[in-house]
Amino acid sequence: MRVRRRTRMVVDMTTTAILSPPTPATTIRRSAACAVEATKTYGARDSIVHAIDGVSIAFEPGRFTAMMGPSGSGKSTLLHCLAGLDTLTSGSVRIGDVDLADLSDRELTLLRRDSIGFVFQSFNLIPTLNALENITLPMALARRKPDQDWLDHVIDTVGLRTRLAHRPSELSGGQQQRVAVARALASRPEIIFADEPTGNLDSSAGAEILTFLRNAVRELGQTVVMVTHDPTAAAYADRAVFLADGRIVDDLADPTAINVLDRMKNLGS
Amino acid sequence: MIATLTLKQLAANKLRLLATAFAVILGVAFLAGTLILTDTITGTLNNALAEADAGTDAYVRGTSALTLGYGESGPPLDATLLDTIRRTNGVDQASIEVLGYAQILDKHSKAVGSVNTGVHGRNWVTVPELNPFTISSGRAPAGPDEIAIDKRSADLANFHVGDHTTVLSTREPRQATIVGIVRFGALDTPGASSVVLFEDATAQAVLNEPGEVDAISVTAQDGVSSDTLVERLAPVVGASNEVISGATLTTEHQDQIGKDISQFGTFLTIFALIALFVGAFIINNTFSIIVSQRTKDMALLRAVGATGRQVRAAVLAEAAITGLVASSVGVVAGIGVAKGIESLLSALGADIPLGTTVITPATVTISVAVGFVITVVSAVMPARRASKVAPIAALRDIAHDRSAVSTRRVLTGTVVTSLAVTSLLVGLGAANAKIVGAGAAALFLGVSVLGPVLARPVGAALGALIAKLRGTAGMIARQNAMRNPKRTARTASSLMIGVALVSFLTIFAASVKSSGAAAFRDDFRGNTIVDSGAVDSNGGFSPQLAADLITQPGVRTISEQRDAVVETNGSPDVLSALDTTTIGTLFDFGHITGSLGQLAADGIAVEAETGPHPVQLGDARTITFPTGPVTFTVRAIYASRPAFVGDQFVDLSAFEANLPVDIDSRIYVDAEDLTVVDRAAASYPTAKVLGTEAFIDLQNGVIDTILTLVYALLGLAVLIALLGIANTLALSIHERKRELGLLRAVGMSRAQVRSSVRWEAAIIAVFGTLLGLATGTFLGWAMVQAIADQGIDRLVIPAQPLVIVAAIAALAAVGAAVMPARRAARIDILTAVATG
Repeated sequence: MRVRRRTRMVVDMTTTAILSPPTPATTIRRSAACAVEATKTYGARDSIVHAIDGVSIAFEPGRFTAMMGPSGSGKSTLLHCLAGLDTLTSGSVRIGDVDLADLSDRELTLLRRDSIGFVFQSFNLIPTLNALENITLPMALARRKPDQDWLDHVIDTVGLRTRLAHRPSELSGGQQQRVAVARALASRPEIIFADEPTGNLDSSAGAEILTFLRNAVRELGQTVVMVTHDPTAAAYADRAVFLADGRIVDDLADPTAINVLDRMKNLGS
Repeated sequence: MIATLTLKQLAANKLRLLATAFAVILGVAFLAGTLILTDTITGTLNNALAEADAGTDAYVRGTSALTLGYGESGPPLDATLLDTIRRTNGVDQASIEVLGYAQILDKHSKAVGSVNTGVHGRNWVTVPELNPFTISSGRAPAGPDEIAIDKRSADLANFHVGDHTTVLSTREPRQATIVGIVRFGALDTPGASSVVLFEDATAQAVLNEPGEVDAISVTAQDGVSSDTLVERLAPVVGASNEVISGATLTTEHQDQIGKDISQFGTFLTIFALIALFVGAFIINNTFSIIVSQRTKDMALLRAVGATGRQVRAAVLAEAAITGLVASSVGVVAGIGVAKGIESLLSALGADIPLGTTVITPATVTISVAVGFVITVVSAVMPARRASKVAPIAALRDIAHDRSAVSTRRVLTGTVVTSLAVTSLLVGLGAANAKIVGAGAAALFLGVSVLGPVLARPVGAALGALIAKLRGTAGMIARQNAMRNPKRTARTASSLMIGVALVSFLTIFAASVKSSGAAAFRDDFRGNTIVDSGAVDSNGGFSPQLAADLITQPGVRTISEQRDAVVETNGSPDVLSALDTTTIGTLFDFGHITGSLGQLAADGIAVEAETGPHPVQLGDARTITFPTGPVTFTVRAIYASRPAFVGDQFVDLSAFEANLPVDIDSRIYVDAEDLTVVDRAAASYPTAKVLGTEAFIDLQNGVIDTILTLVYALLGLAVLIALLGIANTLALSIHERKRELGLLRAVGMSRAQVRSSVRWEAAIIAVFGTLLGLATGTFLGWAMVQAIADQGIDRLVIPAQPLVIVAAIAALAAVGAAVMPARRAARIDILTAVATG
């Protein structure tokens, strides 16, 4: 990998210290991704808006985290900043050992390509490429041959074997989203970010996608961070983090639809 | 309401319409520039001519039998007529005019001026009212060794009063001192010609036969009108001569100039129209793309109650406003273009003195109207499509303009293309430029209708190559070029036109050059040519050169060639006279019936004809010289016409009998050695001594020069096409914002994004270039077929220049993609992935 790695032991220690109050039970070995004092503001002076306001959080490897919160809570902004799609106003974000602030645009692109997988709510696929081409796109961009065994495994897991030659317009919404998940898994990234992956799907297709994501974590050891506002979706995760007004207000291990709904109600009031 | 909407749309789409506007501006600017330039030249020269002839009340000259309307000089007048005229009641002053060929040499013994822009010798008219020239410095020529020259030539050759020079004429070269430098009214010289002025007697001796003059100009006494003077002179000038008023003379001069300028204007206008034609494709494409991008908006309009007609009106109004604004800007830009063409011409040695820039209401009206109509007409189809958007489309997700190739398209394209091909072949057969032009335009339309049918397979094939070469960026470029075949084809079509015309001309010129060269090598039995570069009868070199040449040891045979403008069957023609006693040994005429050597002054040699009534020995042929019709007897019929010899010719003695001045345009020579000829021609700098191959090169060089000029003018059409490619890509990228964002999100680097856009441009360009090469090759083939009987019997398709043309077009297109590619690479990832 051509990404410059700068290890800063200090940061690791700080992160541990900062993160201890809200989640005392969690022991942190090494985080797959973390944010430290992350702040993102829009506007200036009088009309300043804090999309995220000093958020510090770490995501352990091999876990499925759901980020919840009402509209405008900053959950999507946080996800975009974590994934290197957007930049912070202050604070830092790291993927593995890499501080994103240290990366040039090119290095950031390579990091996204090689270490991050994406699943978005909609428009996840390139309409001119067929399913297989979409799945292998990040590797093709890297001019890297996909690991055929792994690829077969992923394709079978998401059940797309018979659909590989189809263009996105010839697939159902659920199938399209499965292609997107397969693409995210195929390059074995360090972490997968999913932004409302079931937002445009009916409940059974949505359940399918969430099961895939959970299986990827349980069986393949993948790390997944998912933004959602659906308590049912959050129930698939190992951990639910709640945001409101740009801050983390709650953190729940092994969430269920019921207790997530409770927390949401509290946030709303 | 619709009007408000149109204005809002325009405001929102300023940038997208910019390229459309630019295409219109460029085309209109070129059209307006041509009109402004020709009007300005005409105005300047008309003023100068009116001023020059202002003092002339009546003008007496020999009546020309030619009716070509070029002010052909008639037979010369007897100089004694001057006295008769001077004695006529009402005549105040009268002066002879002697006109002919004269040319000076500069300080490096190079001829000043060119036969193609005019090289004239005249007498210095001593009556100031009758003299169009005024002394700028020095004085009038007085003795046989003195001359005055025009200021332009003096400036070009860096001559000053008191300098010595050599004067070339139809006589032997002579030495002279420049005693005066003159101007023509407000101009340095008439047009771009160079003028040498002699005193009367010398002028007659050098330019004409002693005792002969070309015209007599007259002023009237006070109180005698120009018309009265003409009436009084009419009976005294003699039956073979005519007298016209000064005003008529001015009109004649202005008409002649007008004809030349309007030919030049027509030539340039053709390129302006080609540019506008290409522009029409771009306008059509831009509006098509805008309409498809706005499908949702239009559907919403329809859903809330707008009629199809209103939607169509809104699109057309947008086109109308764009067309009007762009055309107006184009007219203003035309002033600059006029200046540009003028500098281009002056760089080519044809600098024309210009007075005040003339912008007539007609120029403005025509240019704006043409630009406006083209813009609106080009937008008609997209507007129709817009009006057919179903209201339900507002509720659907964006529908891609998939538009599979319809049978109707294949049918329409095939029919239009076939009609075009037929019209082209018919037009070429009948030598009718208008039918040929319409056929070519229709061919371009037909091919562009068929374009989408070809776009997918050709794009796929080209793209496969690039995908192999460039990996994912190449693959995405390929998919993008193929995803909307109509758009790709429309964009490629605009480039096709320029490439087709360039490749057609390349093939045609190569065929002409090759055929001419091969024929000349086959037919010419001599080994040296002395060439003046003169076309028609504008100039050349003195027959004295031929007389000198034949006395040289080592020169075996020579045959002089003279050319004259004559009329045959009422239409203008260039007739050649050759030394027919020797021409038969210098050229291969195939089988000859009769004898070339026996033509004499009243015989003619003609090429054998096929058909029911072929020409036979003893047939009569009437040819009209300025002095009147002359009947020749066919005394020789030759089976095959050698290169550079026409389908008929006469003997030199026929010209001597019927034309006032003898001037050689060319001498064909068989000599032991080229240097012998060189030595003899040394004192005639307008005579170039060339070996066979060098002569062929020179002839081909003339073709190349014209070709270069035409390429440069076609460059405008190609430039507009490139603009179209850039615009299409910019619009496509705008449309694919989310997709590009997604690609960037999953790890496509900016460099890869840029590369994919550039390769997409390359695919479109190569597709257009291939279409252009194919169309151009067909046009070249058709043209060569059509003129095969004129000795152009070889179809040459020069691979190297055509490959270069294709490469340049493709590279330029990639260059045009630089900006859109950069914009694509800068797309904000979040716009693509941010959820609604």
